[in-house]
Amino acid sequence: MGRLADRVAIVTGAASGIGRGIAERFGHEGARLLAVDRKPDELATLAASLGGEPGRVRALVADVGEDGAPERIVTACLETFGRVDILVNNAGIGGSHAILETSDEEWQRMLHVDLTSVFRLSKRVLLEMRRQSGGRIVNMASVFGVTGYPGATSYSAAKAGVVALTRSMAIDYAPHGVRVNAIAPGLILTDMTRERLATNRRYQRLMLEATPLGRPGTPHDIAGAALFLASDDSDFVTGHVLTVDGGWSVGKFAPPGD
Amino acid sequence: MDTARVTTGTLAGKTAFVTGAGSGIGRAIAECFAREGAAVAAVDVNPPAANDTSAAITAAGGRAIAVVADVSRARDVEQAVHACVERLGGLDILVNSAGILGAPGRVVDSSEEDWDRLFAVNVKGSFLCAKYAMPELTRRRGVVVNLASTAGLQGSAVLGPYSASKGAIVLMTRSMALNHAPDGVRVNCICPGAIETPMLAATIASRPSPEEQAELRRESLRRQPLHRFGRPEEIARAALYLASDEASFVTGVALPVDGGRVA
Repeated sequence: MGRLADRVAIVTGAASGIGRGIAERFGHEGARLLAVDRKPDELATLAASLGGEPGRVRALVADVGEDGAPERIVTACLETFGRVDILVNNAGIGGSHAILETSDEEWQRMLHVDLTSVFRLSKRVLLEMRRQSGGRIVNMASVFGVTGYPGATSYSAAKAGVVALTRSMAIDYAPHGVRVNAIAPGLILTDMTRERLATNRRYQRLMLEATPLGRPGTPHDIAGAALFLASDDSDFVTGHVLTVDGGWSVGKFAPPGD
Repeated sequence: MDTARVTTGTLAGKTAFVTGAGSGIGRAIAECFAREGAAVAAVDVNPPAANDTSAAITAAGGRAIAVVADVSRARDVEQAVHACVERLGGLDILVNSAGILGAPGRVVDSSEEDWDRLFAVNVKGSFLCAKYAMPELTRRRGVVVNLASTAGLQGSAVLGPYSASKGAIVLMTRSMALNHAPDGVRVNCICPGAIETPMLAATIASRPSPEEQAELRRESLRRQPLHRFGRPEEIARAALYLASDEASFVTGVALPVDGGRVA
């Protein structure tokens, strides 16, 4: 038995990085899991690592940015598990610039994948949660959606949209017993950020060296926050954006001790 | 509900110093942390209340001591911290839950005495406990959990001075998070909304007539997106998250536990 015993959770972007950390943790806490990702190979290794009992994990290859994805995801979840208790909107993309270097194409794509897909899947899932009179949604925002960072226009705008979407859904569906919260991660060590830390001195200085706790976070740190927000432990918490950044946004860009 | 919860022993081996442990949220935190394996110093200004909480924890198989202290007095706090370290072997988790509401009303209507007392308990009390506990917290890479309020995030037309004192706690939390992060000490606060506690009961009872009291209760509930007041145990579980290793990358945050009120 775990803290999510027999709860049914959908996790998008589950194959790697933060999403994988969340999927693994939820699995270990007893959740039944629909793991969604567009990368089939990595998704297969996740399903294998959570193996154990048959029927506890289903892997679904899907790109959340595609029009039919919400219906496919929810149908697969209902087919396999009969309901949906938890949705973790984690899938997203990065790679943005200052506004004068931001093309229309980049802007549209970023807003589409990081915000519109969250809107669409949440809308489809809320239909089920309203019918069930309850559920929990955890969205992956970012500290960049809450505070400024150089050269991150489209990403920051999309993540700020996720913050506002989180609050709106929380207020509208609280009467139906649905709680909606978000996590704003700071610097978390994943394949994507490891590469960027190694090659981008400014990123290293503005993110790693300005993180008061003196280390990058791990997917496990975000999984702990997601578990808190998805479990009964946060029954009176809704509409909140929980910052998990080692103190970065408290003293943005200032080295600790300053 | 409590009995159904699996006791994971999340805080096994830790020692928690909980102020305001004699009632309401402080008591719920003290009992929750003890169930999760922590040894608890139940600190309260009211001796029977401190003893009650300590006795309840011990009776449930936990480990606790009662410590009487007025957190607004440096000497009391110093002795209380000393008692915790001497008798329980250390201090890993400081929870500043002791607080008072003060007289309701506008800021400018507060009397000088009320204002000083409010800030002495709510703000200076949290400061003093952190000051005297920090050497031990630094040695043990400990954590601080302050109890602020949603009234410390938004203005309050009816609880002006209280709101100001709680706003001070939010900002004290953030600065301390920066100060102590290099030592691995995390500092966060919780902002409870309307929670069923003696303090909420007192707020409602401050209205002159039963009709006005009922109206205030209805009006407060209408403003809750989740359509109910919270329970002290729900604050305790948020405190448990922040105090545990689950939140080891979380510092400087103000976590509302308010049913969506400030969203």
